[in-house]
Amino acid sequence: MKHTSRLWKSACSLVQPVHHKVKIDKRMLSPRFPELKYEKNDIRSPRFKPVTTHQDALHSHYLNTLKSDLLLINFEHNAQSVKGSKFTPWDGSSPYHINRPPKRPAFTGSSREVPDLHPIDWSNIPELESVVLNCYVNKGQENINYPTVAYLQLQQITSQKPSYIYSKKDMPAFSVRRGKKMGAKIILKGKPMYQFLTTLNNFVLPRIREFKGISKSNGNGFGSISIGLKPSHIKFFPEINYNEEFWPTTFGMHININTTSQTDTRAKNLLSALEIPIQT
Amino acid sequence: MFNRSFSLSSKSYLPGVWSNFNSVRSTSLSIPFKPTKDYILNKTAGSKPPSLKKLSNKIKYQSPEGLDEIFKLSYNYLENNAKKIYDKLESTSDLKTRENLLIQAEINNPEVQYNFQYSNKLENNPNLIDYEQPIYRYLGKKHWESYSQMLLMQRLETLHVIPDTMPTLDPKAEVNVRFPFSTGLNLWIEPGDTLSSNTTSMEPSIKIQEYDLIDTTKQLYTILIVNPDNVDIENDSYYTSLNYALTNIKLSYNDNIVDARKFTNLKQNLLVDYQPPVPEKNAGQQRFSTWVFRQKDIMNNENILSKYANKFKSNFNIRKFAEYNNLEAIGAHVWRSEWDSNVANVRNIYGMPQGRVFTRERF
Amino acid sequence: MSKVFVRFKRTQPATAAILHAQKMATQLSVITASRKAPRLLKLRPEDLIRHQTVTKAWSLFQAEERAEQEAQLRNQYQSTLDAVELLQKISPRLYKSVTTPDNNITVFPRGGLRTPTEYPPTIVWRYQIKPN
Repeated sequence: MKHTSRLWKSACSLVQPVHHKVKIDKRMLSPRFPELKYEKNDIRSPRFKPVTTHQDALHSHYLNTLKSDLLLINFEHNAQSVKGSKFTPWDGSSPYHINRPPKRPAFTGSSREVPDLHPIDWSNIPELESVVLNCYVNKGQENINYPTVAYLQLQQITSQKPSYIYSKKDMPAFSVRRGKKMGAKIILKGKPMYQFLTTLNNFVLPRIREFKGISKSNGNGFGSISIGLKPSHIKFFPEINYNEEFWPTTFGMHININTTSQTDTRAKNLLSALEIPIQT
Repeated sequence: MFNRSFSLSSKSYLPGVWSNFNSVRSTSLSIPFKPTKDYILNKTAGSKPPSLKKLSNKIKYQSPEGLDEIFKLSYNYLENNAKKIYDKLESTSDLKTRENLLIQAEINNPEVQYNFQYSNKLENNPNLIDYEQPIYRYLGKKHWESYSQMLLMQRLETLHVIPDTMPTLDPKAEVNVRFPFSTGLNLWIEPGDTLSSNTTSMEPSIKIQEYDLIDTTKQLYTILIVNPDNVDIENDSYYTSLNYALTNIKLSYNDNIVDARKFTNLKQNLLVDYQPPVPEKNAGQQRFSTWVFRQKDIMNNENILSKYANKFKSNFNIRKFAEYNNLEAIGAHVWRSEWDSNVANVRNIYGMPQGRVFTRERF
Repeated sequence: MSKVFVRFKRTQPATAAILHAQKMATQLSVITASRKAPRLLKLRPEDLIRHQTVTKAWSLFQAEERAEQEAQLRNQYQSTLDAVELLQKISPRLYKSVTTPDNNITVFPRGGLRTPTEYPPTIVWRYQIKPN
């Protein structure tokens, strides 16, 4: 039986007490792999990756010009923070309140708390946080090689290392089983993120005929905008376009642009400053 | 707006703060070996690092491209920053703040970094690593914390030296022990090592490296070596004995090896003479823990001896001793000893009675 | 009937399946980490110290720049606040028109604020150039 061992476990902690306050990093005490003890940004470390190799036009444009403009645009006089709905404990007026889980956040009804909405000042000007490319392949269960191709596709486009995604639950209708490799995704931050956005904005979006700009209703309510690309649109990426004959199959993907602005309007305002077309 | 380019005026005709060695600035903040200093600071195109000896290696080695120009820029930039800090230093009088500023001013100096990273930190040469300088104390402390301190605390904890002797330790000074005599190892021993009775037959020398800002002219130290594993058959237990006790020891940042041969005033410094480890057969391993304390004031050894001399051997309570004498534990060390064939010899030399041999009692 | 043995003859025909497998192998080899990891730079102590100095200077320079920018934005915010408060005193009508919240998305003029690039250049026409 799996759980029988539980019965033999004592109820008290078997961890020995510690009599000092010095934090011990066992990795540093081990004589093995001395080169792995260096920091990641140390040139002696095998994990070292040069970061500042070239200028980042979009990011420096944001820092030099857009940041102060965004501060001015989002300025509100006498604005106050709006408190988001949180878990609220019961007032204890009834004996049944003891041990009852707290009230869920109002309106959303979900188990997530809504963060407080702060007015924009010099310290929280909207900024790009990350871009997530999610490439879920529906046909993944038909051909086991498709997720690998999706992985390669993301790697080609972003020149970063993606990770595979796996189906979370059984779906008999689509003959999908839990834990099956179903595609790839990548979280872009920093320079690769700005590089990707530049490519997307200059090469891909202008060539999509039906794309008329990000719609008014786009956004998850917390400052995250998403764009969907069809398999045919992937060919517009120059990395794919350059040797198109090597890519008989391409896969569509979702692009989630996460910003630190807490509302969708502010997020779209930021994206329009980065020259991404927005419908008004 | 923020497009300030990474360039500075390169007119450095006057020596900067880092290269102006007047009477105030210590020479330990410079690389004494001239070829290395020249290579680091004013490398000319085509020159090879002096650490390479073989000609074939020199030919093979390529220093990174473009490093020479950018190094000069960076050096000037950092030196200018250091100058600002030195200017600030002139208007501050608080000792702690001054110490911090001195650290900040020198931490990016490549010469200091070279001296510290590539020379012996434990047996320091004051021309290279001078612990009188705040920057070297700071770097030394960081280096100690990155390995030796963690190792010591791990050994003290796993061997239960804390809380078997003192309840806890907040380490402030690095303590190293070695047995330098002809019988000894003459190596700095790692905390928790098991040593033979021959090695430990003469008293150890103890190095106490302070990294904090203290008044070295006044501060006094006490060193105790205790063994908490003496067999007490009557009570079916163990008792602690005091094997070595030194008091009123004065140290400086660079000259800090405590060696019995160096004492001039034995009465003032030596409280209890060295009793070498003589574990009895089948009594298992014994832990000999060295404790270093900072004293609040000078200790009167005669007074202490007249009161407690009988307790030192039979039943010593290190916690009470520290409390009565206002001692603050700042460092510790531990080694282990067990019975070997040489123990009888050591007992002979020191005129101790014959050791017992324990056997398992069968019922 | 005599058998003719042909040397180096392929025992298996190159079927589509094998070609496909080969293609997958090539693609997978692109992913492998060993292909991407650059060789570790072996620096002598002297050069390592020089490298560390440069890295330190660069990070300090960036930190200084960030602090400068933050100070400037803080000043901008403060002066905007001062200006609006002054406007509130001088002309309540203008103040009201300025501070009325606008629910529409404020969009930056497209093409009006271009990200600086190397091409097309910022100087459109060089008037000074003369033919040889």
